Amino acid sequence: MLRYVRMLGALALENIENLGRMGVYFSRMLRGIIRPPGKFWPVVKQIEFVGTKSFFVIGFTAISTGMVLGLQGHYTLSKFGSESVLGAAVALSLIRELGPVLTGLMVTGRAGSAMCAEIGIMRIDEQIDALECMAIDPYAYLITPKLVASLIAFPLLTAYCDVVGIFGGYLVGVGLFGLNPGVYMNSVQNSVLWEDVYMGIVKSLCFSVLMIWICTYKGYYTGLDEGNFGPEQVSRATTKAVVLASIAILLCDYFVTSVMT
Amino acid sequence: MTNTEIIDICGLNSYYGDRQVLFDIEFGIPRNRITVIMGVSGCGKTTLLRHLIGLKSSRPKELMIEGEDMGGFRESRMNQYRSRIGVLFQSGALFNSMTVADNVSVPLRVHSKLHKETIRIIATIKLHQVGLSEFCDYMPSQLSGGMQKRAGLARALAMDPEILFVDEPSSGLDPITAAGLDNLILELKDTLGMTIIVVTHELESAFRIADQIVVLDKGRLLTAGSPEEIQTSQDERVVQFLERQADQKQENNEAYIKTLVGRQIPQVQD
Amino acid sequence: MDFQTQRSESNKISVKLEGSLNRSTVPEIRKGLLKFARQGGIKVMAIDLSQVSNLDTAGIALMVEVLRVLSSNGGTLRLTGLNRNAVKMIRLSRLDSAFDIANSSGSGS
Repeated sequence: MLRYVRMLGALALENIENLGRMGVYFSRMLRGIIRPPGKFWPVVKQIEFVGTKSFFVIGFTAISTGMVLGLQGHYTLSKFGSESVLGAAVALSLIRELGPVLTGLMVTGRAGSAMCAEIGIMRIDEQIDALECMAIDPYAYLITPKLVASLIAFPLLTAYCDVVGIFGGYLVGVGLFGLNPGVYMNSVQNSVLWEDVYMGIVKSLCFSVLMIWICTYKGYYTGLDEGNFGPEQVSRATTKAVVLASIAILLCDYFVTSVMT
Repeated sequence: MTNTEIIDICGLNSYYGDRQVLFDIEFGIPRNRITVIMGVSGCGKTTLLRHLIGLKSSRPKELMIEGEDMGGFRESRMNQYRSRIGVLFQSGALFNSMTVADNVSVPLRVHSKLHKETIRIIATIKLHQVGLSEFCDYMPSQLSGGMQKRAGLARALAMDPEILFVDEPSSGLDPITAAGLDNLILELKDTLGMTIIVVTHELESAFRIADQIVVLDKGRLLTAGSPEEIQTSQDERVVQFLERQADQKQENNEAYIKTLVGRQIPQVQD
Repeated sequence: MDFQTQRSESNKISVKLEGSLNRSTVPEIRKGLLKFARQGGIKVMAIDLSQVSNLDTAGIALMVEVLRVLSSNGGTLRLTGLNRNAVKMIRLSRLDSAFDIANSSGSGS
């Protein structure tokens, strides 16, 4: 009996220690920004990795989501005879909610998992140790460029997602259901306010921080707790990272929405 | 602690969680000499190395660097120490996303304001020293394990360190290349007066290059001395170690039979 | 790190370096030294390193860069005043046959 209590206690302590470690990691990650000469090219490379390479994925997600929104929206709105506000329905859903969340989830799945694996492999191959022994701060060298790049790339990708999604809704609304294009675009213009766009931007920034924080953290600490530095640790860490980051994004989404509404 | 010792280990104890892996290790590392730390796998030599390069934190007064307590090092002091040392990890630990020459250049790019051409030349010089100058623009994945190790050594030497730490230099290398590395290590000591610490389990290599040999056994210091002293030692454990621990094999065999058969089979003496 | 130059004959230049020649000081003098070496019609540039207190691989790399510039114009680089340590370092870098090492202790041994 006592054994179970001990196990529970150990589990609790372990998780608290983990949280503490994540907190320290977060501060080190931020410290890298303030530190000596910002490195321009690594950040640019990471923007290409996180942003440019996600173009197709986000575009595809956006267009299909936009089209689905158009379909579902039209179905629902027609029950109330309000088909003309389809543009507003699609645009607001995307800008306030689906744009940031879907971008967050897709980029986490794509770039977040790749980052976690890359850093995890570096960890098991002693490359991070090598950086430390060369008096190079691994956070400033590896992690911070990714953070800065994500903070730039996420809002841009989200905006791109919104635009393509609205166009998807347009294709369905105007092309399929024969709505007047002017009516569609008008309802978009009239209903979207700065607060909505602002909410989308805040969310995308929060999600980008969460993705980088969680995915790189999991990669950085691969194998350190288990004392096992084999390749299977990398795949385990990567899976955990993507799941944890996705859940965090969804929770954060609720939190931000409720605070900002 | 004398002036000739650059690093002094004074009763170092090390733990992984609750498990103690190093017990009261005590010896000095002399300046400008080659110290070889030897032992079988699991004896704690890699842990000891990690303490020496600051990757595992030491308790106060257990590890002294030039008279200063490493346990009390702040981050800036630790960075200062690290910029004077070079470390070759067992796998070479090259960064996979860049060429070999770029790998060697990393510390120079971060810590100096040298022009990239100058850095390129330094990288080529270092790579030539380890016999890899034709492979400057190859990616690490295109090289064999032994070549990756040599490239890692070139990177460790890029900043002309005062102290060089080498983890298992000969593992994965053919005898000729391993001998070449040994010769380079000797040359570095002779030419630059580099203090070199080598962790290895290869006896022949150790006796060839060492000025001081330190033997660890199950986390304890078995003996420390010059190669001659070790070879002529009367201590039976040292003698056995040199004869590749025949008794260890015997113990292992008994345990193995016990596992298979279910009980200990009494040894038949003939 | 300071350098003084002197053009003795129309195609020979002497340069005297003083101070440390290592990775902290090389960036400061590199531009000036290379510009000097690029002057046309130099057959021999002699660099006197006797007053150089600290020579590391970065310093040697700078010498290589100067040699590059000179040999593309058909010139050679002569290093003089090398102490034992400097000769050892050049030998360690396997560059003893690249430079014309004259009047140095330990050269030719």
